[in-house]
Amino acid sequence: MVIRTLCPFCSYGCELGVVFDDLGIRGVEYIKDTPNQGRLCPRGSASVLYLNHPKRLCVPVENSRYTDWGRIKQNLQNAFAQPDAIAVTIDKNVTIDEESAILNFCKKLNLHNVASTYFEPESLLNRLIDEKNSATIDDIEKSQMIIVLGDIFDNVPMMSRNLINWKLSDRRHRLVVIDSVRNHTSYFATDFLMVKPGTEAIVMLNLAGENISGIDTSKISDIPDKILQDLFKDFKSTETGLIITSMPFAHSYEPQVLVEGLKRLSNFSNKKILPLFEFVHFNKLPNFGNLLPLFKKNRIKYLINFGELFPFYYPQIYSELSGINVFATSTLRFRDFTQIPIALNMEKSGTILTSFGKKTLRGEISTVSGAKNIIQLLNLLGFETAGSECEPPNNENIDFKDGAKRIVDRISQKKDGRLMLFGEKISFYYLGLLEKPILKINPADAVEIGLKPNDFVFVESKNNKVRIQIKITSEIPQGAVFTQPETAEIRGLFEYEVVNGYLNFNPTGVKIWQEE
Amino acid sequence: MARRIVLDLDLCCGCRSCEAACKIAFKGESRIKHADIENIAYLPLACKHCKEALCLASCPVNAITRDEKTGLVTRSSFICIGCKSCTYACPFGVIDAPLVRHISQKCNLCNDREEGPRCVSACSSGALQFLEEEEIKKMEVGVRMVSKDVFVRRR
Repeated sequence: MVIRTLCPFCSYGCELGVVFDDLGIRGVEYIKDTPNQGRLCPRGSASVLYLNHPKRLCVPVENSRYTDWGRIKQNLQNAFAQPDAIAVTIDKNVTIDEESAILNFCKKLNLHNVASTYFEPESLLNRLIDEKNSATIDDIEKSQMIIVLGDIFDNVPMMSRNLINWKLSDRRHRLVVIDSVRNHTSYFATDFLMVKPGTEAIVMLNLAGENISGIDTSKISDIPDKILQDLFKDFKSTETGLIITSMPFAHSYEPQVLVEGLKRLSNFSNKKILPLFEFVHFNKLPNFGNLLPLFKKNRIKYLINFGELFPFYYPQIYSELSGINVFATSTLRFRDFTQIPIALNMEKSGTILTSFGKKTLRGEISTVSGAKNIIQLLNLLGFETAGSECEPPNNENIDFKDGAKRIVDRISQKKDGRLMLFGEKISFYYLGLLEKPILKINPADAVEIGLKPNDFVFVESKNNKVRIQIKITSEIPQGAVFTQPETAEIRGLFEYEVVNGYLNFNPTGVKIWQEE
Repeated sequence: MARRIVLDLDLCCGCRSCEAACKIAFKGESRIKHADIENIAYLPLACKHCKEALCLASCPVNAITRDEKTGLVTRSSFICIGCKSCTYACPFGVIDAPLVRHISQKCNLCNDREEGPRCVSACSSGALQFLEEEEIKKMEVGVRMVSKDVFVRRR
C-alpha cells in the first residue's frame, strides 16, 4: 500500500509515497504524476527513516522516566497559574494552522513571552518572502543572469534541474556563484567568486553599492575590485536577473547583515530574490534572543516549546536552561526535561508554505502511537484553540554598518593556531539519517596536523568536543574547516552571541588533533 | 529488449539522491558507489551488467549468474559465501561486501519494481535515465568515460 504525502523538510514541497506493508513502513515510492515528477533529494528519500526512527518518542517523558498524560496536564496547569513566568517558543515542524492555534492559545491565556527558536539563518530569509521582490521558481526561466549565493545543488538539489536546464538552454545565460568553498553549483557556473570564508555579507553590500567607510571590500573578501565592479555593472544593466540564496547554519558572520545586503542588492538592481529555506512560517515572531535576558534574571520559570528539536539540539543553550521547567514537544527521545511526543508534518493534516505557494497536508499516514499534533495536544490539555488567525508581531531594522565592522573585527582576530570551523548544508547528511557528518579540511592544513584521508579526529571548541571523520579536499580554503551541523554535538561546537535580539551562531575557532 | 542506466554527466549535480534511494531501499547498503573525482565530477557508479562480466567469471560458487533474456547479471544471496572475489574482480569497483552480512551487494536494476531502478526515479536533476540499449546506441555522444554504454556527454 502506498500513501501519498508531502516531504516536510524544505520549501520545494515535493510529493512522495510512503510504502506500507503488514509490518509497517517499508520504504519510499517515487510517484511520477506529481509536480516533482517523482524526483526526490536525499533528505526526501530519508524522510521515511525519520518516521520510524529507533529513538522515536511515543510516550511522554518526565526527567528521563515515562509518565502519563494526566501528570503532564496537571504540571502544565500549575504553570499556567503564573502567566508572566511562562515563555512559549515555536520551533520548526509546525503547520500554519498549528501556529495560529498556538498564538490564539497564548492570547487567551495572556502569555506575552512568545518567541521563535528556529535558529537557522535561513529563517531570516522569510522576511523576504512576503515582499514584492520575492520570486518563484518560474522566474528562473525568464532570467538572463542569475547570481547564486551559497550552494544550491547540495542544499536544495531539486532546484538543480531548473537551474541546469536554464543554463544549457542558451549560451548567453550567465550564472554567477558566490561562496566561500568550491561548491557543486560552482562547477556549473559561468563565473565563480570564491570569497574569504564568512565575508559574503560585505560582498553583497558592496554589490548593492553600499561602501562602508573604513572597509576595503576587495582586501577583506579576496576578490579584486575590478571583478566586483564589473559584476555590479553587468547585473544592474541586465534586463531580467534573479538572485537565488541559501544560508546554512554558521556559514557566514552576521547573517542579518547578509539579508540586509541581499535586500539592498535586490532594490538597487531592481531584481527579484528567490530565497530557499526549510519549511517554517512563523519567523516574524521575535527571536529567542529577546527572551534570554529574562531567563538570566530568573523572571521565567517555565518554558513550553512547540516543535521538533529545541532545546536538545543546542547544548550551549541547553546549559542556560538549568533550573527552568522545560516542556518540549519532541519527535525523538533525548535525556532530560519533560518531553511530549509530537507528530511529524508528514503525519499531520493542515497547510504548509512552499516555494510554489501554500500546499495541503492530508494526514493520511497514521501517527506513531502516542504522538499527537499540536492542536490535538492543546485540546487534550483542555484549551480551546479555535479563533481568528493571529497576525504575529514584527521586529525589524538592523544597523548593517556596525555589523560589517564586527565582521572585519572577527576576521582580523588572532587565531592562536586554531582553524575556523564553518557550517555548510549538504542534504545527504541531513540529521545524520543516511550518513554521519564529516569534517572537510584543506590538504595543507591536513599535512600540518599530520592527517591522512578518512582519519578520525577530535575537534574541540570552547563549548564542546566531537570525534569526527575527515575528508581532505582542496575545495576548502586554507585556515578553515567545514562541517555539516546536523547533530547536537556538532551544533554544540559553535559559539553564539545575541545581536538585535537574534541569536547569531558564528563560525568558531577550533583545535583539531588526531586520536592516539 | 534490455534496458540500462545512462548517466548524462552534464546534468549530474552531485547530490547523491541516487545513493540515498538505493541505501533506503536495500536496508542501509547502497549498491551505487560514488567516485569523488575532485574538480571534475562527483559521479555515481552503478553496475553496468557487463557483457563479459568479470565478477561472474571470478565467482567460485556460481552465485552470480546472467539472465540470458535481459542480460542482467544477478547474485543470489543464498549461494554467496562472502569470499569477496567479485569485489576484487569488478573493474569499476561497484560491488561491495559489507562487513556485517559478509555477502556482496550487487545492483539488480531494481527488478522488483515496474518503473525501473529507484536511483533513476529519485535523480533530482534528471541526469540518470533508464533507456533501451538501442536508444543508447542511437544517441550522438562523445565518449567521456570508460564505458560508452554508461556515460553520456552532450557538449
